[in-house]
Amino acid sequence: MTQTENRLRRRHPLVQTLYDNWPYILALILLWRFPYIVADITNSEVSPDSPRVVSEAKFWQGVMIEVFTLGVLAISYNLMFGFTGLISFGHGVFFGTGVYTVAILVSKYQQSFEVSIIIALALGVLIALIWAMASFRLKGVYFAMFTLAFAQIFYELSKISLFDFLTGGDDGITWTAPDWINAVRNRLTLYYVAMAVFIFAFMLVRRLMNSPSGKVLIALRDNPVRAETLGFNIYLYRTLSIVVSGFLATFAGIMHTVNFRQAEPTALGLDRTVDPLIMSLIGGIGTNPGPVLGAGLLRIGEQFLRKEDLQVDLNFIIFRLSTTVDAEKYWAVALGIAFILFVLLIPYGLIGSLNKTWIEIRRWGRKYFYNPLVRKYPQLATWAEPFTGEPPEVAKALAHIPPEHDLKGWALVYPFAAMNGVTAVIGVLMGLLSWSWRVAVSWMLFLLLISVPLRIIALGQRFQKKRTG
Amino acid sequence: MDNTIKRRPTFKIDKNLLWGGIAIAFVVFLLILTALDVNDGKRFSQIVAGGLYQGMLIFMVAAGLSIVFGLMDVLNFAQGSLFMIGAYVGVEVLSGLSNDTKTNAALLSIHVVTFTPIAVTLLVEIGTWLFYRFMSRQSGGVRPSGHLLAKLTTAALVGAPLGVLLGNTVANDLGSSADLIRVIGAVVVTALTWVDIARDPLLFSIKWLFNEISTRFQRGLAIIQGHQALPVEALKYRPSPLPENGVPIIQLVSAVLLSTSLGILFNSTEATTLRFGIAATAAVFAGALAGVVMETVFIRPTYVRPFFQIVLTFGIALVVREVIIYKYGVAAKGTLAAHLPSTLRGTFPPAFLQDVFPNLETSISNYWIFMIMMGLLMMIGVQVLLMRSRIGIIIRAGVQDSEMVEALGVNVRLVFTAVFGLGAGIAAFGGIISAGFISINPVMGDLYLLQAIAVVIIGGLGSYAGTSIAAVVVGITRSVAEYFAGKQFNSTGLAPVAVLVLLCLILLVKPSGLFGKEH
Repeated sequence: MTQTENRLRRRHPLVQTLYDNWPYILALILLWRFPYIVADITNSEVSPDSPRVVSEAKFWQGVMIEVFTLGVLAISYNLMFGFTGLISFGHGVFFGTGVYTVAILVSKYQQSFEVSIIIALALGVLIALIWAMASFRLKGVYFAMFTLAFAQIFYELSKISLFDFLTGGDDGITWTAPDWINAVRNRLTLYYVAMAVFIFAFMLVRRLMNSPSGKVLIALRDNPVRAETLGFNIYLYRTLSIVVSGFLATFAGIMHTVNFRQAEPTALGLDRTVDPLIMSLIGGIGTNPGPVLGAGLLRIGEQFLRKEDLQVDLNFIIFRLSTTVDAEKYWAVALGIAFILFVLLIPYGLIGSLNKTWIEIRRWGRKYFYNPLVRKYPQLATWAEPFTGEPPEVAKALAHIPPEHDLKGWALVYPFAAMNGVTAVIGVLMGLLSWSWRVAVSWMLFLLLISVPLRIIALGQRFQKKRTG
Repeated sequence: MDNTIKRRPTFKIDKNLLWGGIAIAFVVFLLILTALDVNDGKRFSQIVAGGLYQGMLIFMVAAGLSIVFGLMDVLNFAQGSLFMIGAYVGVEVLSGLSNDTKTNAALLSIHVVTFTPIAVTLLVEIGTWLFYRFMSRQSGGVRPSGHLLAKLTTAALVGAPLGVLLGNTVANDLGSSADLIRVIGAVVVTALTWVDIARDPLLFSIKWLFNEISTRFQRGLAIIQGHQALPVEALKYRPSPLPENGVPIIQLVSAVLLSTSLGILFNSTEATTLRFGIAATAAVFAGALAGVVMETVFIRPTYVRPFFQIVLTFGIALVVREVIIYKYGVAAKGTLAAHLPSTLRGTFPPAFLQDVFPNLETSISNYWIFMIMMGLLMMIGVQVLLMRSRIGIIIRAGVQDSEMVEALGVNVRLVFTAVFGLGAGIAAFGGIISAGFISINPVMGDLYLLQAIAVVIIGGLGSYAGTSIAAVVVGITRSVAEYFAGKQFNSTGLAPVAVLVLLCLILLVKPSGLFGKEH
């Protein structure tokens, strides 16, 4: 058996699936063991006997439950915005349906918890259907505005005193979740239930997007006219996307209300659109793991960044520049600025940019370490599949692009080459300014460090510009 | 055989006319419904005026939104933030200007001596430049540079003292109602001046006057001597030999008139008018500047990615709101009512009108009328700008096909920026105007943005007239809904719901709005 045949040998489908999805499997194992890992690290109890005690491990379980909730919401948002190209400003209406239906049914009408969940989901799907049917003639901005108006109607109605007997007006409703899933008494169970729902949502959308219907949704985003001309009933597919998205968002709402045991008008507000939007943007819209990554980064990062006053030590940039920042007040501003910067500079988010950068790197690989095997069998170039999720067609197309520049020697010294003259001059200048060789050296190192990812992102963007023309 | 197909004569109604008629009929229907229910002139006038002023405030946010969307397909979610920026800048300026009488007197004198002539000269210069840049009928016409110093001196020496004198006289003679008359006088004089500027200043230059006189003189001489005289028209419009060296008289005249009017305006017994005017000016300029910066820094790089543009402006709105919360806190800051001129603080009608019409019973605040007037002024002003000026032609052509306009050699990017700035300025003006009556808080921008979006969508994106009509419709709907909801359900919170339901219904019936293009 030659080397070529060895590399082309067929694996068992299960083995191949596991091999392709190893990052997800790793993440799954980590999430499964998360409460115990945290308990080990912080040396605290996983589930204390007394419900009043909030150990470190229990606190982090709560954070992760929120991450799962927001993750489901972001996945649902990404399905509409990232995959189908429908800008929704009214995801709050689904989220709020989940929150309010369960809270109202359990607290005001004494229904059982399970029944109210089913009713809430059915109601969410119904509202999604109404939404889809009412908006089927609307496109682009008009659709966005319709969703905004539609959601705001529910938001305004939940606030006014007219429906106090149902919604509790501005104060909202407080209710009690059953013991087995109560976030106070039995948080570990809730953690695993939330994780199950989250995995269900992730797999659902992933399966949908890998199916032919999913490809039609992407076609709907990229070129609706062409999709229609090819004979697809675009309204049907739009409805599919909206209904699945609404179903998942309702699920997220239910998880939210189970976790916090209350229902407030903010659950219906614009914040429920802003949050998943920012998360999808930071993670990467139009990618499967993107929104989840965004949700995790924001919610967990918040725990570290928002808690205490931030001692910003910029001594290494300019001598004697250190200040204390009120993190609690700055958080929202910083989030908004990050939002703008991401849209302007990294529009496809972390995962999206990574995808594009991987493609670029693979191109380099073919350029610099020219491989006749890949040239002959382009499917071999899919070694980065688990990260990228790029269809092999792209790799095939790219395999035949002739090398443009001869940069063989540069591959090894690339990090140093990336730090060009301008950054070096800035480093020297800052060093002179603060009159300290340590500062100068740390500036150089800092610029060296940031120049590599910046350069990679820039390459990805160059590539993206080239492709879109 | 008769092969001709007999067709019934078709009656085609213009679609815009139809929808406009329906919109107006809807408003009239609502008003009749309310009038039948209210049976009280005072309350009814309040409802109508309340609806109108709300409509006008919404319009000021929506105007920029509409033109900007029509021209560059950007739905600017940050328009509400610009509205809010206007209000907060106004507050900042007003709190900066002290209430102390001595300071006010000093401020006034400094203002009369320095600011008025400079402002007037600047205004005249900008007007002349705008005229020659965009409005001139002559192609490649020579732009008279004028003598800046001459204008400045004239304005300072003649206009400002005249204005102060006149203002004093008026104030002494008329007493309490002088303020209103001053404002009206200033507005009228300013408007007249601008109308004059809009005409061709070259025709009014000194050279032209000299030319005219000498022509007539020559003609008279010829007649006296018994020759066949040339018609006046043949001599009159011959090109002036050195037009660029002449100081256009109209500029001098308008400098004097403008500074007089400003002098009258600012020489009020209470300096509140002055301070409010300064605050409003600052707000407008701050808003316009913010708009220009927003367009150049954020919107420009994303024209190729329209999908992200909405999201981006949404993010900008978020940041502005959070920054304002960071600086001023979440709590509402109250209104500017204490800073308003006394004329605007009373109720309509004033005492002298009540003497004339004893049956006239309303309880509308003067400020509502002021807001409505300002809204109408903006509405008509922008309409005139769009329909009667060269830049308006460019904007309207850009709305139809901006690439074609670019191909014809117009710098469309610059026009985009200017229009963005204009819309932002109008929104900021709306902000400071509303701040006189409505409590300032960090979410006021979002509230007005929602209504403005409803207005723009109802009117049809890109249609300015549609936006104007829809603003009135939405304002009246809101006000009437507030009345009925308060009466029937004892909950006025239903009013915004009524507007949103109206928006949803109109989108269902006509997906592109009342006057929008079919997409």
